[in-house]
Amino acid sequence: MSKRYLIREFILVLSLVVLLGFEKQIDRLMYDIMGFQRNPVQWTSLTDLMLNHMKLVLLSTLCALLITVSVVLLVHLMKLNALEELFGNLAGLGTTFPSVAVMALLVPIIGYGFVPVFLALSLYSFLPMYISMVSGLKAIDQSIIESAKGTGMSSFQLLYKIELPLAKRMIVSGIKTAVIINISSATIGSIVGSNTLGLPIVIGIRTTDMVMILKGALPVALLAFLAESILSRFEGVASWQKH
Amino acid sequence: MIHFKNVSKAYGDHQVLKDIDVSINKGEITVILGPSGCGKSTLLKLINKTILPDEGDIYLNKQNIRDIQDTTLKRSIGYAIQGVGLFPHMSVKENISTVPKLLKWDKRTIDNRVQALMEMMELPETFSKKYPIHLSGGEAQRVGVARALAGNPEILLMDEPFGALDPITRGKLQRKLLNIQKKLHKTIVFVTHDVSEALLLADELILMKDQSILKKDHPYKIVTEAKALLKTFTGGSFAFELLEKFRISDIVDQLTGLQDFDGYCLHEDISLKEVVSEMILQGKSQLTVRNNHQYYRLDFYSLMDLAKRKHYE
Repeated sequence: MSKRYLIREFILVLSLVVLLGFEKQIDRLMYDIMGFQRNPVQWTSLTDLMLNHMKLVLLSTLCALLITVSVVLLVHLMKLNALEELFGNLAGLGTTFPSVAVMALLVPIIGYGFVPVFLALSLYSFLPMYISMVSGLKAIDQSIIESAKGTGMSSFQLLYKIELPLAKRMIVSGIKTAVIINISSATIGSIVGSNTLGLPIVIGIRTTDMVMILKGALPVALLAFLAESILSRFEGVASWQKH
Repeated sequence: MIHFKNVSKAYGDHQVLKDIDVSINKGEITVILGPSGCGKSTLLKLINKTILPDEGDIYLNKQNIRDIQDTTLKRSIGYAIQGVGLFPHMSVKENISTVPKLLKWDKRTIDNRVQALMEMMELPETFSKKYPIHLSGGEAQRVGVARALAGNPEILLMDEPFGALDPITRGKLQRKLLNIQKKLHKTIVFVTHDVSEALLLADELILMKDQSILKKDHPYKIVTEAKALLKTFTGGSFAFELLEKFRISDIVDQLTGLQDFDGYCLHEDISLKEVVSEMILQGKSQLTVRNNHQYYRLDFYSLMDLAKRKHYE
């Protein structure tokens, strides 16, 4: 099973390395040899853009994860059921705004670049992680919880011995969704000036440069597939679930 | 050993228990029998603080359980429920080890304990690494009971543990419980709505209805003295159910032996209820039984008498 994953991931990583590492060569191929018109605008290498992109995704996902875990722990351990609903509704409300609008609205307050995108992404990835964490915990059979409490586990022991292991699949699924959403949203962030893989796409659209668009779009797509593949490993069926 | 004093519990407008005052004796199986919704499960759950009372106090060995820390209390009481609630991500061995691990026993002691319990519950050694998903209903429930007994608690609470099982498995487990009890002498509080189960298992029987306790006594006394009351629970065949409590081997000492016998006889040590069943099938009011290489005559009309005498011995 994991062999299939490895081969897939290897191909994806290889493709990424080729695209990024041989950027200059690809440029020469497309512009000089194949005759596409060269674009006067690009000052950051694809590799740098890619790294910025990953940095943004990782930091915002981590930030959102921290917030989600804190909120879920608070709500779950303190049994504040009213709050649980409130957060769910808030998160839902937050995502009805298109992410671009959120980013754009933040610009006059915070400025261009990294920060508004980081904030918008953190806000957005809170919802899928929160919902899957809460649902995962709720989906556990109540007789398991009842007998676990009956053995004399503290709330904390119940959480890490029973609830989290049993909710693991749903939690990982939520994180996976969040990461993939963030990878694509970070692309949109280039509209408000973040130096990510969205930049060549935006430039390419403006200057009708197909090569530029692909320069941004391909790595993003590869990155998304790679993330999905890696995270799916943690989502797999455990031995205790198999008949 | 366990005393309820003026205990009441309500959920919103719905009164689940009204002013309950009852004692549960040490070292016996006390069965709480009642129809659904009478409050029997609630009564059970109050003992290990799964639920807290609105009014009144519960004492364990003269100590108010309010003063005992929740987790400490629960770790000293075994708890087995109908849904079993085995932890699906843990092996049989890990499930059973739950309470000993919470009590911080050392590894060797835990391993020995798990092995001993698995033997006691007739679970083969190969089961220890299996996961709950691989177990049948009866096997799972046996693991559940082993898990409840693992910490060597004085008290065992059981909430309709055999309810979801087929009649044969249920019968096996009921007998297993009685066997274990002969060795362990735990204080067992057992909740059920099944009258034959109650009569079979109980050393002391508590009848509950409409959120209060109607009667508490030895099942035999209730059957003979509170017939009318018991009828409202069971319909009219409760005396018949009582015959389940006794086997041929229990009454042989009162039967007259036969020298030799040729012909049909019952070899197995079955319950008196099954004996009557045989009589009906055979169309005879007298049967020959064999016990320990000796033949005896067993007469329908004397059955109840014999059981009664056995009880009052």
